[in-house]
Amino acid sequence: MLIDGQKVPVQPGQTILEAALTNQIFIPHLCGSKHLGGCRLCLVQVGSKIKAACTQKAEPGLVVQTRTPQVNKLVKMAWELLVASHQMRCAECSQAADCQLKKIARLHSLPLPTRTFPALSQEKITLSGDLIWLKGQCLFCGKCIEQCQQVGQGILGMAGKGEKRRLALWLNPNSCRDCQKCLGLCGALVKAGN
Amino acid sequence: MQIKACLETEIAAAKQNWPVLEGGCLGHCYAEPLVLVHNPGFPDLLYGFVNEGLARRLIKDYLLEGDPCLEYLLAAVEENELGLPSLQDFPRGQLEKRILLARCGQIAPGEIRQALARGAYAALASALEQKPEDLLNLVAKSGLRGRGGAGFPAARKWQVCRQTQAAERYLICNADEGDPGAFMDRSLLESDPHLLLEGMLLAAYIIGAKTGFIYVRAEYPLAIARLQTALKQAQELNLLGENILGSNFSFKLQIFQGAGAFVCGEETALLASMQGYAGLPSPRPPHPAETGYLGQPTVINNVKTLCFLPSVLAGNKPDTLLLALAGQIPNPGLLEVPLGTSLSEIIQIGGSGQDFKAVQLGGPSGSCLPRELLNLPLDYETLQTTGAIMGSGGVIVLNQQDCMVETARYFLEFTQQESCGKCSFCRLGTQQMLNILNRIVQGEGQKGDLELLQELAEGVKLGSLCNLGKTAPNPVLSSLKHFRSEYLAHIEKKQCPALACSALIEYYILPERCERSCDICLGKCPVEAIFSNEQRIKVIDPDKCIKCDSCLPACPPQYQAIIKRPKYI
Repeated sequence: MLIDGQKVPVQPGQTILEAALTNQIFIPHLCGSKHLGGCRLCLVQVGSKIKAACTQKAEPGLVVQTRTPQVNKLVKMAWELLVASHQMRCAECSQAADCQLKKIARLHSLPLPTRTFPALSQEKITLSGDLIWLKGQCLFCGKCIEQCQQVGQGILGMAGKGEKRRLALWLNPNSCRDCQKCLGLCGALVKAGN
Repeated sequence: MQIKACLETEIAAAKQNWPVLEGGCLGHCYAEPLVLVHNPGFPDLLYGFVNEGLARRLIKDYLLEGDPCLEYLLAAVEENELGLPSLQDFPRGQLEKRILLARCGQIAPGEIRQALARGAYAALASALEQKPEDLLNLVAKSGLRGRGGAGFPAARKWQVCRQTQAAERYLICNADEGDPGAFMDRSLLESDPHLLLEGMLLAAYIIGAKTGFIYVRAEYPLAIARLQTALKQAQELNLLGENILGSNFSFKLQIFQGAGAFVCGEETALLASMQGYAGLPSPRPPHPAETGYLGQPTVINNVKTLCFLPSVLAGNKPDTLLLALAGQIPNPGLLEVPLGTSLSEIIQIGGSGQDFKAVQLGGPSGSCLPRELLNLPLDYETLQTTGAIMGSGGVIVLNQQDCMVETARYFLEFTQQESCGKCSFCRLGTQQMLNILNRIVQGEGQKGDLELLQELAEGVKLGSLCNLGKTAPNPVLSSLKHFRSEYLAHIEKKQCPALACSALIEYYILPERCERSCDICLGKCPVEAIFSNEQRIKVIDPDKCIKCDSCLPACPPQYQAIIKRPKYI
């Protein structure tokens, strides 16, 4: 497979994103190991079509371009939309050092902070006890849900649709074992008082 | 229902046992309530705008005494020897070609025998004697396309499903019709449920499915009830179940009620919802025809696609379009026209006049087409050249009183609310687009808004995960293309040319036309914004007025003193 002119070996079952990342080619993305096709930052051009690299299967012979004008424009727009839904309170954010949004901004030379679009909702929702979800910080990457499943809890999930989509605890809120693994991953999940 | 009760009382009073049956849709929605009277010796006659008085006369004068009350007749159902005008003589009847609607309205959907008498399940009986491969070739040759909107060749989808090795195959009918202004699928299900059942049996036989589901919105209770009756009746006659009509073919059919999320009309979201997950779409491939319900190959087809099958296997071409005609017109209704009919012919049937401005084709994922494009023949290839899509088949006629910006905003608001929120373009992009449009109709549009809107719309169209997001910007893109001047008027002059956007207009009472002795508008105003001055001329207080449009229609036609006019900011 060719990614931006570079030959990349393909393992069976891999997605384009996985193949690129294992070969040190960075394609912007927010997700962890589970690819949902949600953030749309990993859009690439395959042939003449725009595809999400995280869900498109890698196949021998594919010609993938990650930086065509069209891809750049779409990635920039997805990034700007996410930034508009994100409060950029970097001083308080636990992920400020390893911020994907900033990494993409550097890659695409996007000025930070830009405000092409007005900011959206900044709701705060208490999930359980003192665990609080900040909608204005969340990028809906799904890493916390994945983490929750990995520690064997699996009670974090998404509820609602469209703009009312939110993080929620399924079943009994008290069933959270308070392992705090999700807190370490994400700046949108905080403990009350912090 | 009132009319039905009235007819029943009247028949009981006449000591007769004539049955009163609920019928289906004839497409003449404007003339409802409709009553079709079958009286031996007369042709079947159809009466429109029936009230209780006419219902009584139909029993007493027509059925008992033989006077068919011709002054109230809408039409005879078929051409007849008496020379009475028939439905085919209507402009609508001349244009129409009824394949899907052939039995609709002419049979009682609750009576399988009436459907059988008009040829239902005949195609099934002959198909069961042929090989599925031959039938598939026949479908492929006919060029049957999926009628859900995208127009994908049905035979190709089925071929993929047939070729995929699997223990079990499933057939799902997508009856999750959710577009505002669309009622084609509902009318078919309510008027002729056996047509769909037969279509599903045929499709299942071709792809080799033993189990099928009808995914129908819970908001269609009548359609569900009639489907359930139809299923029961078909089972009793061994048209469903084990060894159908003595063949080796067995098929189980169930109804699955959707909870009403628009996105569940998207096939991957539909599958997720059927398997108990949240109704979120997932990227394709894999296509459901390879990996679908419970991981098995699954064919998902729209109601209309499946309903075409009996006729296609009888050797006919599926060359009609089912359209729901709605909007600001005197004769809305359900129409089935040959492919290639022009939009102008269709809106003429709706009775659109001089006031005509645009046609919205295909609902929230469709486009607005202006007067200049009306002569285009309606078929899949031509529409694609204009960038419009057929969508589900909703045709909404807009006239000079409809604001195109508001129309685009309305459809976008619908898709924005129905977005599942999974991908960023659809969740956030439609929100930002809606924010811009909301500002524009409020008179707060700025320079640069249209360019940003265009850019966003193109981004959402290309970047979204599923077809809900990919088509959501269509109403905005098409109105920007064809009606840009209206957007500019809102932004630059802060005026709504159609006088529809309430923030940009004011209500005014012309003092020279206001009748001193009349106080009607005063009483109609819900917020007491209208007062009577010392000369007893009525005046509207613009600060109190909420622009609810209660006063304007209340002003008697001989005065016409109340007008809408642009608000001067």
